[in-house]
Amino acid sequence: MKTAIKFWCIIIVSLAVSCKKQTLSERDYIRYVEENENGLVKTVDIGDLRYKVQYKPHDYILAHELKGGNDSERLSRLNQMKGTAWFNITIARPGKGESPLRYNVSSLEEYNHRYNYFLTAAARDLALAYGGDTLFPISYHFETSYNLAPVETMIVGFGLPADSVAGQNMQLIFYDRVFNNGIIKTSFTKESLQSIPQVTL
Amino acid sequence: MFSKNSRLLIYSTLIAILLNGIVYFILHKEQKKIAVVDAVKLFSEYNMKKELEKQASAGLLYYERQMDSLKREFQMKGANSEEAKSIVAVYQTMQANLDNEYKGSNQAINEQVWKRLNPLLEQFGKEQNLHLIIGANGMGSVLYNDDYFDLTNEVIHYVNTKYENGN
Repeated sequence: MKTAIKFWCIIIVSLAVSCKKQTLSERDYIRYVEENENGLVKTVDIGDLRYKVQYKPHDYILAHELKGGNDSERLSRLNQMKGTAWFNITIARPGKGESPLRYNVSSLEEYNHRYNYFLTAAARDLALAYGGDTLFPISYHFETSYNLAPVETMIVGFGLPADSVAGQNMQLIFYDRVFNNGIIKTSFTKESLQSIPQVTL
Repeated sequence: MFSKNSRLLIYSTLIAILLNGIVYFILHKEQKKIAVVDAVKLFSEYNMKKELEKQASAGLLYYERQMDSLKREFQMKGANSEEAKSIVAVYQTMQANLDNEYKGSNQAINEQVWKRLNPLLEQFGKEQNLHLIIGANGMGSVLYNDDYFDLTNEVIHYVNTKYENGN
């Protein structure tokens, strides 16, 4: 009887420990979020272009923004981000050293048209399918590299209807009107979102 | 237990089965694998094509509504009035714009869809160890094929899964 009780106590404690979320240091946490295997970054190759969509958990954003910040700053920033989901969408030409804005461009006018599209109009072609809803951006920013890097980055944020952090299946949708590659979709499962570890400071 | 003749019969049967298996395996491996895909059905059933058409139809709807308004105005003014003549001119311009928009969006959708489908078809062929995929477009490229070579539904499922999950 005592042996049986000890046995079941060990089983219950082992299960409890294994169910607890993994905790990582800030550097390991960033690496975890950026690794392909963990399902938080997706890549779509179409022709010469590579679209990479990185989901950015709130702690990931904080790890980049607040280096050495105090707890109150962290809490304040976390409260600001509550109920939002953020993504970086990068467009690059693998193996080429020039910005994709210059890809197959025939004139300065065309280049300016592309540049202006990404600065102002691209937000209209972004959406997030979250749960059963389709959400549109609440914030958009085009991080131009001024042709100093062979990538262009869009930063987009969406307001979640009910959740404080993203925890359901979601799909980011981008209609690429500049490079005529159609609609690009990348899916993030709820399992990969719910498995995101916590970060130790 | 078994007589000599029975044992001989059993052994020769087993050897015959084994030889048949080896020959079948060799022939099957050497056989060129070919697939036929209904290109028209594939194009129509591709989810990206349906979504692009839905987006394009919103722009075309604008022109159609404008033209409906002009028709109503024309009917109210009467066919012989001066205003009616200018309405007709505007209507014809709008009709031309609608036709151009329709042709342009169709062409753009075609290009974008095949730009995405072609590499997926290549990927599908490699994964299925196919040597040839023939696209039947109803214009005589494939006059007849039975279900043995037809992989249309499998290809449609494959490309739509890749599209929804990111490719």
